[in-house]
Amino acid sequence: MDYQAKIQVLQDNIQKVIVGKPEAVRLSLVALLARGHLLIEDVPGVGKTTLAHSLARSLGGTFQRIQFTSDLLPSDILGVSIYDQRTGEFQFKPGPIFANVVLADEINRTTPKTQSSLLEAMNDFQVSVDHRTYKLPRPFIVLATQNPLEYQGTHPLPESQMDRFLLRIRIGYPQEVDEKRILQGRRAVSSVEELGPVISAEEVLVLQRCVEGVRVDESLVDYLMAIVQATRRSEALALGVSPRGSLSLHRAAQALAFIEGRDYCVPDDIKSLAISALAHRVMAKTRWRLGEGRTEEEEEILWGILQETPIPR
Amino acid sequence: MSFYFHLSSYLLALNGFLSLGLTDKFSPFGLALILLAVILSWWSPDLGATSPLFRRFMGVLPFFFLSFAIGDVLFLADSFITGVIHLLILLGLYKLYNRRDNRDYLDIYIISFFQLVAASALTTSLAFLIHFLAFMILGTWTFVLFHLKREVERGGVLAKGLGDAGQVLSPSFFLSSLGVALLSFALTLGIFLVIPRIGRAYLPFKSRVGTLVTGFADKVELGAFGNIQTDPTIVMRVGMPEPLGQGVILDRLRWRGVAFDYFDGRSWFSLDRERWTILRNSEGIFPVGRLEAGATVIRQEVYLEPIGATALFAAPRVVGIKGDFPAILLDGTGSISAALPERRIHYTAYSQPDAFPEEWLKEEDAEYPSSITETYLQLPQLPARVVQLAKALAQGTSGPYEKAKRVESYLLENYRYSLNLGRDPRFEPVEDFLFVQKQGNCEYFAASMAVLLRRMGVPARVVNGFQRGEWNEVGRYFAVRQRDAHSWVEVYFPRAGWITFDPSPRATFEAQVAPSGAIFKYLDWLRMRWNRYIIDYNLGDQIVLAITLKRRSEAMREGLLSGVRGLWGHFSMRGILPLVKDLRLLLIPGLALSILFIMLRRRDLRSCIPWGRRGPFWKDYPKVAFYERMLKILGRQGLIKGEIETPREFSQRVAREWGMEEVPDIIRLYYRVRYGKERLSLDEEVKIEGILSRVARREGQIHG
Repeated sequence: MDYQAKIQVLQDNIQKVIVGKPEAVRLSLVALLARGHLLIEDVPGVGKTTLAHSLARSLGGTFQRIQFTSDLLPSDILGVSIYDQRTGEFQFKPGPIFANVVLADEINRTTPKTQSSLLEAMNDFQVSVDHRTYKLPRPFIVLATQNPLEYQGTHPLPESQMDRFLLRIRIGYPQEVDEKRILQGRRAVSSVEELGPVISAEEVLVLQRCVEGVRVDESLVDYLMAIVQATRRSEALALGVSPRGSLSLHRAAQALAFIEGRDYCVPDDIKSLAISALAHRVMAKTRWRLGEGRTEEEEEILWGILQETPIPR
Repeated sequence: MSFYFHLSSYLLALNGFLSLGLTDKFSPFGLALILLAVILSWWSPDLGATSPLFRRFMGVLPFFFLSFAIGDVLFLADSFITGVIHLLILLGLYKLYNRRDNRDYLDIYIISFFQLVAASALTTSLAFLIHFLAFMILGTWTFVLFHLKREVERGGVLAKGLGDAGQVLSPSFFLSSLGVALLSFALTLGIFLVIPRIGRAYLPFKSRVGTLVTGFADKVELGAFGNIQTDPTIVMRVGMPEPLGQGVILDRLRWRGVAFDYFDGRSWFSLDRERWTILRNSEGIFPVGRLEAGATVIRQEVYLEPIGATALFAAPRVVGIKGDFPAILLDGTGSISAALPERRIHYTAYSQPDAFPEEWLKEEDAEYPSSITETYLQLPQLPARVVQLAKALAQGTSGPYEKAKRVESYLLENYRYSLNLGRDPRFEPVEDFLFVQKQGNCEYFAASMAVLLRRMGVPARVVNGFQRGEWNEVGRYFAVRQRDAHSWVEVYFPRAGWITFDPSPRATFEAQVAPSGAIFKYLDWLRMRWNRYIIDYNLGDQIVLAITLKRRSEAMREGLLSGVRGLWGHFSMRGILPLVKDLRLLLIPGLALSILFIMLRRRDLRSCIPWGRRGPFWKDYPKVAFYERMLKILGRQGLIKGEIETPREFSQRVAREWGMEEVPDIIRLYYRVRYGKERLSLDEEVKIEGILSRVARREGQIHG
């Protein structure tokens, strides 16, 4: 299997739908190859769901979309045990989470209780219902979208939940040229439904294993640690990056290197991924005062930290 | 090209092994075995590819080698250097059987070089010159081919021009590299003449000694020469710088070594071992004997091979010796000796072999001083037949000269010279020779003559040395071989002293031996030049150093051995610790270890050792030179990389703001080297140089 060709095909496939956002597409692939989950956060209407959906459709294997609403219950996601009258036993009916790709749309519209039901699934790739544990299919990736916190009718995700996401990315408004293209040329831009799978679940597993073999020079690990330490020491942050966070950045950097066709990491991998991989794990002190944290503020603090951390020679 | 590359690599390796063959450390059979193994290894890569068992076996082999080498040096080999040679052979063979990539070939070349170096320390043979030349020529070929091969594999710039290998490997290619080799040889020669050689005294000549020593010790049994009198090895060369004198002198020219005074019926002894130390006189000559006025003095330039004896050989009636000895010793029998190092030595001897004409000797009477009669009339109990023969021969003779002449001619005429020494154990050796065998070699002739003369009351003694040898008119010297070892008799005359008589009819016997051909004479002359101007070149203090080093190393070996024994007994390190202090002595084991290290560089080999898997045990942050240079060049133009800027960001800024579009390309290559730990191809290096020079030119434009 030509890995680079596979990745290129996957990237091209998604970009048929997501026009002018190669960075966002690339980051979504990073999450996929680093065995992580992806949180896409932005204002409504910029293509969050489209990105998640097109990634999901490009992969072989099973796909489930869950529309998170305020009345959604954990069992609606995980599944329920139903009494079977014939056998006289409870039988487990798996919920929509049992899929290779799960699109959790507008995840912050549901209650914290339901949000938390995802915790075990995302971290341990298994689900426990009625004292029994069920393995999830592999690969397993959660692609979640959410609106910024200050919007109406949202429940912020708990910190522990946020920490489960490898990356939080933003899409942003498209460039004028691209937006014009979207409006005019319906032909050039496919709709999500037209996309077919271009890579099988097994191939994704192989790629994920390859990513683990990407070399990270010791000096780069030192650089990564310097960033993480700075978040823990920072005056502006109430909560620094967890060890899981540094592990995530490490893995994400490996995946990015692999996507760019290298079997070794470079400083740019870490620097360019630091905000996506770490910003959602830290908490600005201002959040205590305002009651709610602002995504932008935490990203700015991390940006400041990056501006103060020297690159290894 | 691959075939030529293999061939020249193999010839180079073979040359290394063959040069080791020059040392006398291997029997012809052993050498043949090694060469067979070398040749068989030509097909070994196929073996490694098909048999995983073979590969695994090869993986553990170096550790056996190492343990063998340690045991070898401690217990088996006769010197450190022999142990190193054994290790070199094992490693060389190992590499030949395990060659897979370019690095293995490089190792093979290095080992071949070490073999040559080791051989140079152990041999003084002229053939080494041939091996050395071969190494230079083959080495040049091989390295050029090696470079080409690697370049083709890399697909570098050269490869593009190498589409057809046949174009490159034309005769002119070989000729031009031959020229390069010869040029470097000339250069080496220059360096050689400037820098003196060391290490000569390291030569363990022990094995070559042995046979000859027997003839020149304090005691010589009759028949001792028998086994060496067929050996054509050259033991010394005696140069005659002045025009040769009368034929008479030449006929009787012999190289006297040791004299014997006591005979017990079977062996001759040198009992009168009182020695006088002779010191150099103001002219740098050791005065050994009295100079007889009016007699011809012949000068001899003697090049003596190490034969294990301490005797200095020269024509009889030596008057002086000139040579690089601290002092020489003279004993009562007129034998000259010096404390000789085990190496080839050169000295000048001045002799007066014919100081006294025959007429003088005839007039001599039998008035001997008591000191002479006490020593030189000694005889064991003689068989009646021998006593009668002495009486019969003495009848009708007047003086001692006549007696001596009569015995000499009696033996010459009535007995046959033969190397087939038959012995009838019922009789004493002399009786057996005179009455039963009636044939024998020079020792029997000499012994019989001395015994008969002593019985007649004429003081006589047996002398061992060499006969004249073969005249080499190319180099104007006598080539003296082992088979020229000879015994004769000296008879005492009250006024003239000791005069040479030779009763063996050896000359008639020798006539059957064909003289050497002209080619041989040229070769031997070349060999002598080699010895004179290469081997003996300006040794001076280096020899002393080398001897000291040798003694130290022997002491260390001794100490190491006793240390090991001590460890065995007491588990104490006391024996070894003092040895480590002398760091110089770690040189040779260090050499062996570094060879082993070269082999362990291989990654696959490293994976066999537990600590090898972890990768390099030192931290390395390679500084990438071209990147540093680029930063410097850009820095001079005011483009300085910020601390928080990654190299890529910096390069993009430079490209964006300053229009240096090529700088990001350099950064890509830099990342590959710095973080990918990859090596750049020649193409890429050329490209980098191009970009850097363009970037630097911009600098010139800015400032200009």
